[in-house]
Amino acid sequence: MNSPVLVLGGDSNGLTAACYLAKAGRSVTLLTHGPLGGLASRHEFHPGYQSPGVLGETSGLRRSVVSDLQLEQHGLRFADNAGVLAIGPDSTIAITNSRDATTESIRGVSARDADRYREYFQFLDSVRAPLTQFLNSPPPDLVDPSFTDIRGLLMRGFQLRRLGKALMLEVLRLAPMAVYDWMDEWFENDLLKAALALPAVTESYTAPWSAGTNANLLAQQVTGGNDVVGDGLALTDALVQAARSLGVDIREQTVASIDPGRGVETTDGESISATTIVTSLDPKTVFLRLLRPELLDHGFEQRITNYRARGLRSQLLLAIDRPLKLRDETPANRLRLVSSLASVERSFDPIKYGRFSDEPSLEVYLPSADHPELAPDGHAVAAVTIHYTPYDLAGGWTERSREELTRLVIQQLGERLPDLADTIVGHELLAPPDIETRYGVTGGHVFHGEHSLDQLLVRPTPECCQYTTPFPGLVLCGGGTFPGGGLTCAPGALASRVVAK
Amino acid sequence: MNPTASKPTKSSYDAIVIGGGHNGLVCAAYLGRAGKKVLVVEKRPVVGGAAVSEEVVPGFTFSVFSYVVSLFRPHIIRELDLPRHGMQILPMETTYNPVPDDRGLVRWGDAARTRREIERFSPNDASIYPEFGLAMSRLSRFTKNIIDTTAPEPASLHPKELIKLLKLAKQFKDFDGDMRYLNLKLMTMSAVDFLEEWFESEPLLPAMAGSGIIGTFMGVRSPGTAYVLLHHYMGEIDGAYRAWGFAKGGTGQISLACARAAQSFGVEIVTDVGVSSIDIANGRARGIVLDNGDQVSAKTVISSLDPNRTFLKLIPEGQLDSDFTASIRRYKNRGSSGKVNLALDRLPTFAGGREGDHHLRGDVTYAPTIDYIEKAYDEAKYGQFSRNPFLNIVIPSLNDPSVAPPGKHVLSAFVQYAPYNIREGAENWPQQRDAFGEAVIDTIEEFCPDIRDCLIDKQVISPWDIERMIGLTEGNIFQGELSLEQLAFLRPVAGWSRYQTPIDQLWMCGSGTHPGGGVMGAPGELSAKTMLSKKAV
Repeated sequence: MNSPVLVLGGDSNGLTAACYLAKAGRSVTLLTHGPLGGLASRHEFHPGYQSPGVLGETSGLRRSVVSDLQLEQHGLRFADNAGVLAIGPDSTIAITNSRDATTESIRGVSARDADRYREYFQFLDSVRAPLTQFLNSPPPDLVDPSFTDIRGLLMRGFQLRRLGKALMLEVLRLAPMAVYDWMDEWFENDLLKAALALPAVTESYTAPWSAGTNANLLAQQVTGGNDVVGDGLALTDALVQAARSLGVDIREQTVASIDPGRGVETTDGESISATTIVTSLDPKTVFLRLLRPELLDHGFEQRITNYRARGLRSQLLLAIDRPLKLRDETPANRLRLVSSLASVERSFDPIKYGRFSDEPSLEVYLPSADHPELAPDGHAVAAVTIHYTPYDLAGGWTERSREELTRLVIQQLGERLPDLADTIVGHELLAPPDIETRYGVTGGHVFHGEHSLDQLLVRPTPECCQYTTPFPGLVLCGGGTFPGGGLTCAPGALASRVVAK
Repeated sequence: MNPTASKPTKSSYDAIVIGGGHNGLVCAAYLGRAGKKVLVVEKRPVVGGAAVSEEVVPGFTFSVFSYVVSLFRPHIIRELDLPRHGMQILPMETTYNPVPDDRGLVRWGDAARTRREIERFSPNDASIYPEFGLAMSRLSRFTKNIIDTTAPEPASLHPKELIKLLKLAKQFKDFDGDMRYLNLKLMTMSAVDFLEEWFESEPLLPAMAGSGIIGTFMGVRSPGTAYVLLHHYMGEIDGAYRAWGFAKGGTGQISLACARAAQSFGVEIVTDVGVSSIDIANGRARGIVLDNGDQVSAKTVISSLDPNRTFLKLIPEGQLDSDFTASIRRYKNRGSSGKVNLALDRLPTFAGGREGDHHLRGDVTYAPTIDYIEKAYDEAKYGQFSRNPFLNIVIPSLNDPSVAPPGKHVLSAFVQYAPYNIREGAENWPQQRDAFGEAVIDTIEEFCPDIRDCLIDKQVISPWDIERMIGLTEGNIFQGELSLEQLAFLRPVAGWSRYQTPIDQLWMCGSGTHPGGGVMGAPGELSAKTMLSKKAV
């Protein structure tokens, strides 16, 4: 089997799959809609200022991918002390890769929590091996298990059991919990709890009190490592270089339709034939927009339609006339502006009724130090992620609602970052529908589908949960497959194994 | 039931059961049936725990807390011969969902009639409704395999346990793929997300979703609530699935039947007797100490109280290791519901203009929209009772005139949400109780405009009252939340899901153990059978 492969999607997973397949000796053509990198790509949002993309966080990048694709030879470097600065109403905590430094920073708000933080990581270390093994292997098919799946499951069970009875049961207890309860079992400081748990609840139509959110936190903590210097954009650059050096033919063309087993049509009218098509586009786009409807049987169509991808984050891009100086001398370029888990929960409530909160939870990404090219000399860019904002805003995303959201976010930023407000010279708001249009992700959902327990175990549907689809020659490799979205490169790597077979 | 004494007749028994709730009584009955000398000690003047009927207002008998029956295990009824001891279940045939300014929705026992009702809101939903019911019934048969046996122990390496796990896996595999997928979704999704894959219309969606939140401190959009929906389809009376009913004479009659059955096996029951502590020596339980200081000894002590009360209140400090105590402390109780019982001069008029009272003979759920229930939850999350609560109402006097004077009625409203931990602190519930009761009656007024004219008297029960009256920690009606991390082999804590405790010869048999809360008797039965098979008593 050495037929050429067509990869659709120029994001981190598409690039990763393309690299692995090229490395395995296949001839690979990759089509990208828009700039390479997908959600981690640049665009000019204000004359002279560029966005760093919607996804930037790289701590989940799998080290195996880095070494397999020799990404470090293509310019990728890891930062050994990057991280997050949590800014609360009256205190700050720097949570970086250095546990010692983080512990000391926590000591500033709670001596008890500082000690607990060490224990927390000791606990995570003790359960890390079987969990990462689970997250770095193709998922078992839980709905229609084959002999191999059952053997795999028994092996996973055995690996977990090797931790000892108590730890095994503890892991089984933790996964379905609400992240609020687990954080509460460990820590007392509200800011610390909120800062640690925020990534576990965003983009999944859940809040800290929702059951199952702890699985996200566990997955993120056990696979989390050092950030990439230059974050998502740098990862994209390294993957593109690796792909080119492996001979991947990269073309900027948009797919209009897929004919599984035969090829694709592009929007510029070209027909490209390919017996094997691997795509990192989100499942709803692939099956509901690019495939001829008559190809889908009713049950499958329903399951894909039911796959939940309700985008909940907006991004406010700010052009600022000087880099933001943080009062804390920390290397963090990511800020979390939160107060407590209850405040995160409160910012979630209105979306259920089609509204956004008056006090959204905010994350600020300051890429400028690593990427001076994004702004004119001496100027900088700040990308503010806003949780939560509904895709289906009641009354629609009108000029007025956009202005209202922008105004209240800037006002809230001013409260925690007083130096920021008068440096703003331009801005752009990307609401979920804008993210959908710009990046081509259904629902504006940056993870290609919610990370809820049911959608993590069987992602996206039973027939596609091991990357293959009901259509021979069509394989999924994006964030809409196990183990989910984000800049991990894991789905791309795992899916390419299926194709290689 | 034979009159109970207020003093044990002997100083030593084979087994003492602390707490005369229905699980404690079932456990005692099974032990008595096996020939053991058993004493049941109940603190209140009546047995039943949360399954009691009391004449709170002269002439009116309220099922004070628990109010419907469905999950009581049929084989327990058979094995303990409960009908002979006075258990009689009157079937509930309708579910009515009033909607302001509309006739509302009634689901009848008759499928065709239900279909016509749903068709008014959505023909699509009407046609899919029976299919959904079928799928849920099939799933509930799988779940029954889990609730009718002790919890599996996934961490055990014992061949017997592994075989048990494999059997469960086989039962799971014997389903077809669609069912397995549905089951996975059911275990993890929110009630709304799950139901929206099937249905589109209100009030059907909120009416069904409402049954996913009863007794939990979660909203209909909270993951994990879909599973509770299944409980609605596990109802089983005389072998008929999805059958719910009232106990004739009130829920307390079930407890009384269990008590009579126990007594028929020679079990001794004392009431008005509180237990102050469990007597432990060298890590082994050897009896109990009563509130009056008397000691009663036994080979085995069994607590039907909730885990918190059992391990943190009745066991002298220093007897348990700190890891175990810590896991009991983090076990979540969090009561979230209250109860408002009304004595009515006549049947109130329900808005919507339906003739007769047939549609009122089952339960009446007030949850006009999904947003309505979710908003009720949002209020409660931050520590206040819902101003516009979700209500599940029954009027048992329509089926069973014995509970009210002729022509008069009892209306019993289960109310959610009423968080135990209100912002002002749980101990401030007495100051809020009246306002809570008024909020409930105001809400009833939305679909029963003349409710206040019919009102003779009322009983308002907050979760704080539940705790104070019957000892359930934080007023949690299930002796601990039924969330995934507190179910099966994790209930009440990992490693102790088989009714045994770290104290030798001290056992548990309440709803805080597998398979959990509800008037089903399963924890009591499974605990007794486990003890007997291990020759622990």
